[in-house]
Amino acid sequence: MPKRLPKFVLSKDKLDEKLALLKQSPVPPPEPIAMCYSIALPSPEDQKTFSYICPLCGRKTTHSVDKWDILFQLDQIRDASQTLREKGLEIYLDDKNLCSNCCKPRYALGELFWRITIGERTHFVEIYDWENDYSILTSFLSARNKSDYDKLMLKLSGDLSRLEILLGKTNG
Amino acid sequence: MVNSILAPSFLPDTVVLEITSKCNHSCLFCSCPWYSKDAIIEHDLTTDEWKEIIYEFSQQGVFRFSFSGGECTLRDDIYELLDFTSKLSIKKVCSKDNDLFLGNTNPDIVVLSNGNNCSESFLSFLKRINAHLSVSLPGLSTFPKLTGIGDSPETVLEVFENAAKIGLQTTAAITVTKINYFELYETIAAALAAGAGAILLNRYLPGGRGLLHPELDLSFEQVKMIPIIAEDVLRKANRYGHVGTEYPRCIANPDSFKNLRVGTRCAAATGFFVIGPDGFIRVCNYSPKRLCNWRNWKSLIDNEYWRGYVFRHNRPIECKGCSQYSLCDGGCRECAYVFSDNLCGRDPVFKTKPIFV
Repeated sequence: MPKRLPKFVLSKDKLDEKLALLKQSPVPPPEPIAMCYSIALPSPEDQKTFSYICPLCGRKTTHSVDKWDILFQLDQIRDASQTLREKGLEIYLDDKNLCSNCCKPRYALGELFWRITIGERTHFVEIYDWENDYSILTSFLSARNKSDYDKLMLKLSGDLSRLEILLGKTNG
Repeated sequence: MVNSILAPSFLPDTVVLEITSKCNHSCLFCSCPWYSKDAIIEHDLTTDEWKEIIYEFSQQGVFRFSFSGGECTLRDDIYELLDFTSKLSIKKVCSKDNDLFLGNTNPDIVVLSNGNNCSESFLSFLKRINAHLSVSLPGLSTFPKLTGIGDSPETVLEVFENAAKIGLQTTAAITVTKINYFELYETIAAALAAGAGAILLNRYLPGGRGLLHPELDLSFEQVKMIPIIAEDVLRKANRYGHVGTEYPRCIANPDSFKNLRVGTRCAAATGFFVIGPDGFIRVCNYSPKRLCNWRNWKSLIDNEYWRGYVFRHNRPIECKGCSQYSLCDGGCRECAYVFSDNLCGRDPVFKTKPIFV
């Protein structure tokens, strides 16, 4: 049973009535405030800049909204590479081009690469569609029998080239 | 067009300044680590020391200063510190038509208070310096019990009313516990009806003094219902709110809410950090772990604990394999640390439930 409210407290009906009235008045813009805890992933429409902390040098680069899509997916790509490493492929996300301090001069700020080491050799592959890369590498690394490889070939639509590029067989 | 700029430092945009450990409430749920059993309360820093801190961080890209405590209004120099902060000119990365540039601006100021000392003249002062006021309202009929004072919530509701009259932006900060859960709807509605501009909900998590009060522990079902209740009120009032304490996505999917923003990732060390009353840096206000003195802030760049938050090495191992793993921290990480001494441990909401639900 709910406890009795003090006298000055309005009933739920009365409050609903007041809320309905309040609804008619203008809405102040939502303001993200720094409280004990705050929203870690603000929606893009609320923000005009986004921060990136470089895992190599630890410096912070502020990016404009056009990098939102990339920044939003970074954790997913890092997690995907971790999963692939657990499956036996030494693959890392190379995101230093998002860092104004570490960005290689010949690359555009924001270009992402896979850094893959197979045996003694390390190669870099530019990322266009990480989810597709993750999907084909997962299938490839998990394939155990003919049926698995048949399914993978279907996924690749017969085109092995991306897989070969990822595995350093061709330069792409 | 410049669309990327190296920030003045790696520090988050917001610093929470716990300028005093003293408080005139004794909230049962208070998570301030110095109220936990056996904790040692250090002396508060002096006015000059706080000014030095504020100035130093204002030069490092920090542009939002949240004054907290304890109860920050108990300090005699609160006006002086706020005034000092409001007059600083800080360099902030600004954006115009997607073009980034370093501009000079005044810092954002947020005052977190229990409302007891928020006189009309104080509110006018806050309005003058363009501050935002967040006032704690932990329930209505349960207010006296939860705050440990004989007062009623009328004082807080009056603060919202008076602030609204002069156009001062306010937020009602509501900590939900097992004790006040039954009147959550009414508490949110009363705050909005009194003039609070927004709602910030924090589910109770055991820490600080709260560790002594297991009777505040919310059930799994209650944790699940909190955002649903809040969304209901906010929609009716056409107002907005957000849930501060991060929720696991398997308990609340942010996409299901329109007026309530539900955070599922922790902002500690990336969105904000805390300087305690003694000048030591912590990742968040809830955390008992003192990382370094503020003067050594540059050492945070290599601090394992800090980096664990920045690069999210603190997610529960049990959550691996979940399709939402990259988008979610599996609940409050610091609470897992307090609760199980393991940063990658379970949020207490999962103490009786499997982590996949």
